[in-house]
Amino acid sequence: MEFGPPNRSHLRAACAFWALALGALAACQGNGAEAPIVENLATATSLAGPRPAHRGTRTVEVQEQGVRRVTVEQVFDDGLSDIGLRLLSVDGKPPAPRAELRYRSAGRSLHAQRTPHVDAARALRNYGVSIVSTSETVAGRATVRLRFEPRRPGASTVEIWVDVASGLALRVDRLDASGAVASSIHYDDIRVGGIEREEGDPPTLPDPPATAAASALSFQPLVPGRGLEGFERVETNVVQIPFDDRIVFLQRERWTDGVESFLVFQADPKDAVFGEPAPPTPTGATTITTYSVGGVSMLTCTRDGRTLAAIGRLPERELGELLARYSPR
Amino acid sequence: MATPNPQPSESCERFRSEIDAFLDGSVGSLEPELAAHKSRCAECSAAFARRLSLRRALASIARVGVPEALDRAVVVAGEPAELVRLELRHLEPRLAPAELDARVRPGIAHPPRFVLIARRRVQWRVAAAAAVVAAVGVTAFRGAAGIGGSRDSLDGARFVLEYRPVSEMSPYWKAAVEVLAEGAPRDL
Repeated sequence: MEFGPPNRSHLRAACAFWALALGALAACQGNGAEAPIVENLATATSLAGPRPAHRGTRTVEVQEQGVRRVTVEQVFDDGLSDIGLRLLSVDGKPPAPRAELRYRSAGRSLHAQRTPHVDAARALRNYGVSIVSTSETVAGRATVRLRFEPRRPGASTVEIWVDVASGLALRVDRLDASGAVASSIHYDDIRVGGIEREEGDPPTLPDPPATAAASALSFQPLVPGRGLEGFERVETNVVQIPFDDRIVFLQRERWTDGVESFLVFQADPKDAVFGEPAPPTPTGATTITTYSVGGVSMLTCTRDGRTLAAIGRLPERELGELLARYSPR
Repeated sequence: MATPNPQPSESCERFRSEIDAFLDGSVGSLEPELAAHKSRCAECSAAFARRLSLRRALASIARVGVPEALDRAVVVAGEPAELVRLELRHLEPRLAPAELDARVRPGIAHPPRFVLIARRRVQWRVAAAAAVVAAVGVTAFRGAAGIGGSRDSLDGARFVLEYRPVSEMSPYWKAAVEVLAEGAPRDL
């Protein structure tokens, strides 16, 4: 049996399944039967499954160092490969032209990041999943509100409002340690269905980075002695990116615990894609440089002839520990 | 091979208006049409090289080493917030304005085993010294062993976490920030 890209029948099947499954969830709400149903649901499908075509407007709110930032964006997604994204406003003002350029160049990854990929089987191992409500609406559509409580200390609680009819995540909230909403992504209006583009849809985004064979790397990648608790490495590939008028090859690994994910890159230090290597410490310790923005940690270090970098919604300390575990085979 | 072009064309104008966006990482790649123009037009190719050279030169002169006094200013933080507050008093006031305390403290949410919070050598921008001072908390730890670091120096630490301001990121990192941090951070 061959598996091709998802087509309309896949999408219809996925939508129908979600409607049935979430309808069942809704029916069982309140009688203590959520857990087994969620587990059954986990074995059969996931939020990472085929998504139906949709277009709409969504708001992204992020609480960053006490400051609330709000961006509004227009989305077109044909459920296959055509994705369009248009930045409409930043903190209530029209975006600067330069901001739009950045937005467009990173738009495909931005969209992927804002569309939750919940691997239900892994998520159930690492999170307690419960139904918070079956009576809330988002963008005028009936939803089931799921809550993912991490079993690992320090991880964020995530709530997802799933559209009963289509299975799309219409709202995603991440909570901080105090239970306050640290970030929220929610549709203000959405229309599901219709793969063909229409006038007014956002322009198609640039293609994602091309992949290459492992032999394109000029170094032997390091390997981690062990991963982080709850996280599994689910993808390893080599991507090529344009940088300083040339092509740079990076090894990219994706790790996930079923809800959250982070990336680890390896590059040749001479490419300096992650900046100049930090100078050695007087004691010879490896310096891991870290930046943190909006709850996202970015770390990089150079050792053993490779540049290692990690990016994700985890504390710097955890990602730093993981980078420290990478060593030659 | 690029050839001299005495009359800048519309393509030249477009190329020169776009290269800054490319060089500062605002756009991920040079459009094929622009790349082709660059290889054809000697003037634009030279302009590209000049901009690239200028950008690198700016990057190098905008950074100076922090005085050695700062290297020695290691802060031990067994009970992070309180000890950091105490230790920060020993830092030279000119290098450690009051805002540093407020900016560094929220970042000290590490478990007790990550005990060493230090200010040490960082790079800073001449025109934005205050921003640099606000960005230099360092947590040291014994990485592979996963054991807490030394309380009074970096001795024994195999890995050191060094916090830097977002303004020092490379262009690729800036793009990554936009991907995962819901829009460009405000200080980019």
